Amino acid sequence: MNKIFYWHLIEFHPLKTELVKKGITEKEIEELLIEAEEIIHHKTLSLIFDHLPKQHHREFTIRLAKEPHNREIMVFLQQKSGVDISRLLTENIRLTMNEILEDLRIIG
Amino acid sequence: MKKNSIPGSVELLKNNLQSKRQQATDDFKKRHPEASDWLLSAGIAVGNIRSSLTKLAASGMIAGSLLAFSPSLTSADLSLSDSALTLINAQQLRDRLMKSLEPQLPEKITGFNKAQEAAISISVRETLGIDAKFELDGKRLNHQYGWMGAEQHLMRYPGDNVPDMAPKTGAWGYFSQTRNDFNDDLAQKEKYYVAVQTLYLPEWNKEYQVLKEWYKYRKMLAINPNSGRSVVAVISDAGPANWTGKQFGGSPEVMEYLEYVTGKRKGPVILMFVDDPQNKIQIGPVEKKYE
Repeated sequence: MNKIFYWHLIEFHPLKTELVKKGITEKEIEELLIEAEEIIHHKTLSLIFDHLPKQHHREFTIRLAKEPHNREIMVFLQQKSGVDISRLLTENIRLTMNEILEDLRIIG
Repeated sequence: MKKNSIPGSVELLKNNLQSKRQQATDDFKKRHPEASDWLLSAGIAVGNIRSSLTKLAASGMIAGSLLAFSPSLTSADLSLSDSALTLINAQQLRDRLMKSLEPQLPEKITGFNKAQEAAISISVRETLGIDAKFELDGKRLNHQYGWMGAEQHLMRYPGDNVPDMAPKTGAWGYFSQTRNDFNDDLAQKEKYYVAVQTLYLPEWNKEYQVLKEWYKYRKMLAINPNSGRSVVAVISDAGPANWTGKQFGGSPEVMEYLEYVTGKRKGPVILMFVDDPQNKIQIGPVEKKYE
């Protein structure tokens, strides 16, 4: 897919490595990574809407739909939210990914 | 046997992830019902964000219902910036940077607060792709936003003689001890250098040996916030003195690129450390490659 504007904050490598270690087929790995990616998108967008004042929700949505990969969206969010959104998203994505990895280790 | 347990494990993993995804979807809808509608009207279905974005990217358009959903939406709302960094030209890049910095600039040329510093770092990272910071490895300059004045060329090696050259070496001495040892890398470091007031750093005298080494040729990003022009330079000299009313100095090339070569040959500059441990960021004008 066309990468989303916070794609550079997502580190899939540790998850992929864990899945490969389990001897799972490439197709299955791809399916599991898609599930993981969806979780991250939902949690990330939720955090964004948490911090973005309501009057900017529409513009954010338009920007996202128009050019999901455009990193200017992060600048827009930073300016309108008044918080260090990049840092918050980084931390949120890291925690989400750690949770997924932890589950993987327990189940696997 | 491990091999036999894999199919079951995969199912278990998949179920677990699907359950988490469902939970994330439900949480989203519960927390942001209105935003869920906004997204849906733009063609992004909560629950299937990834596939929605893929479809949008493939179709190249936003769902028309967003316009109906919001009668006040004008075509101007949709005329967003048109491309990724690699497709824009230098002037567009400068404009973007300038526009994103504008809200953070204080009326007078003074320091930034922490929120402004964070916002500027993000703007720079998102616009120029450079990880630039006001504090690095616990080090911080005495000024982050100040007046940069024109400096002369520095003596590069013993016997060097070029027009507009300072009569003495910079604070870190010659760039090389002989002309033969002088190379392209050092040439760039003299060409694009800045002077900073290391002499006024409170810890300078106490930790002189360590700090002198740390600051030597330290990569910096100098931005003219009024034009969006930016240049990566290295620290090769100390100064200027406080009585000059200036906080930074710039080599002839730095000042020329920042467009501070006429009149009093000085101008406001944001100066940041470049966090580049792998030495990937080139010294010189940042946006020039887009010209």
